[in-house]
Amino acid sequence: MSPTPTILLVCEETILAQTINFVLQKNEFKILVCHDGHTALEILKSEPVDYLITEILLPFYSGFDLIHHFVQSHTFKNILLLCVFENPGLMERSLNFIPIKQVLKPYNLQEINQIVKERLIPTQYIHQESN
Amino acid sequence: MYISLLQYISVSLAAILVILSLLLFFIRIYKKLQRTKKDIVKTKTIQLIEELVLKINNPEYHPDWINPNLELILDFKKNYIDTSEFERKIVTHELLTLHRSLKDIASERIRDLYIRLGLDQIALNLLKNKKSYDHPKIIWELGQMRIIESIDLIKACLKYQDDKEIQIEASVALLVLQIDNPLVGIEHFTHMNKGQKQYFIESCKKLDQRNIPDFSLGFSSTNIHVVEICLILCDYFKQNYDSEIVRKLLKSPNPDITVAVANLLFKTNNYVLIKELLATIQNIEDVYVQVNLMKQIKLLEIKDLLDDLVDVINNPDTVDEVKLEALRSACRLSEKFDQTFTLEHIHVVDEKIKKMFLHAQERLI
Repeated sequence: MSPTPTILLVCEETILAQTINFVLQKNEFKILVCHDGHTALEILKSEPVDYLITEILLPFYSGFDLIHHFVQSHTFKNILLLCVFENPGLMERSLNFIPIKQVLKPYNLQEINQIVKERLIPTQYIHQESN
Repeated sequence: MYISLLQYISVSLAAILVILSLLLFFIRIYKKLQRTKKDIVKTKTIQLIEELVLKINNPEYHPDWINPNLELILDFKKNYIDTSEFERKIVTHELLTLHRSLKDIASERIRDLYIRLGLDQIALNLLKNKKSYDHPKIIWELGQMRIIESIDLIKACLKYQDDKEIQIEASVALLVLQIDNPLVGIEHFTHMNKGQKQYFIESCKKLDQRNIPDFSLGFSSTNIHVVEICLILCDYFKQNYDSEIVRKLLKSPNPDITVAVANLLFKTNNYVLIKELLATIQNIEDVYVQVNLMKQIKLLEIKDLLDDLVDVINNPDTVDEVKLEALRSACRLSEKFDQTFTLEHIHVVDEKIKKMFLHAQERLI
């Protein structure tokens, strides 16, 4: 993981993406924002991403397609799904040691911030310590 | 003469082509300008929200939070709300999207911002204007933002007999707005076809869960549409219900209500009432409904239901299709829980039952 963790935020609604981005930026993460599955997939192919935050329903590719690609191509598999409904099947995926967290709409911005911080800030700290 | 006519036609065609090209060119420029304008307004709205809603670190909500920022709001209102309808619609859409997506303080602050920008009054004025085509959208907006002042106007929309969409949106909005009698809107419908019912249910599913009423209130209504819709929505929103009232609904002669009750009972694993439903399954007029209920029982995998299924099979009033499904469910349950279920459990064993049993056991059908 790089010293500044990179988050890929994929959210169809610009205003919602910008709002979540604004809240997460306070932690000094590098945040890449996009609004469709195709662009997100291109970013995943070209950039090292430490945390994927995505909605399920996206233009071109779904959030699950992105997760599938992310899990196969990245070492750090931190995923946060922004869902409209509960997805009970996610527990089965989590059992394969892929920690997928989910938050339900309407979202609590502080909760999203907390979940991301919990995963990224301790590892960042460890990384800096080891250097 | 012939040449001049040809010349005339070709010149005319060339002129038309030039005009069309120019028209297309201007349309493209106009569209591009509109897109740019849209992006600017979106960016300005996001900046306003960041400045007013997200930068405030105080976790406690206080209604006066907006007062120190009034100047900024008035400035924004002057530039983007009062000047053009196009820009106002973009701002409204952005605020509604964010309000629907966020919860707690951020959501409340966006609602305050919506009101301070005067968007509620604009929506009310548009609702008063009978020539407006946006009524369903405006009603939804007022409902989402919980604008209590709009109740009377929305109630008046229930009388739009020619436009079911407006009537349905009005009754959905009243579910949120009319806290003392949330079902007043649905009660208004004396007749609803399946499509309208589905439209109503889908609209309700989009409602903010924080503001939905207790749908079990509708179980004792005399209007069967209200009862059916409330059963479906109670099941969808996973609300609690009084088993005694649902028990009474088991006797309803309406198959739609029986299906809705059964779905609610199956989802909540209320097997005390499922047993009662099985005991009276022959009273349901529609055989198709009976067969479907039996199919669902198979998926429930509740051990205690085996005896009730045997009772259904033994009942002389049970029709053959239902008996077969009951046999299949009984075989599945006995397999699942290592119980013995043989033909000895059945009182009347004729050739037909034997054949059905074999089919059910070997899953030939």
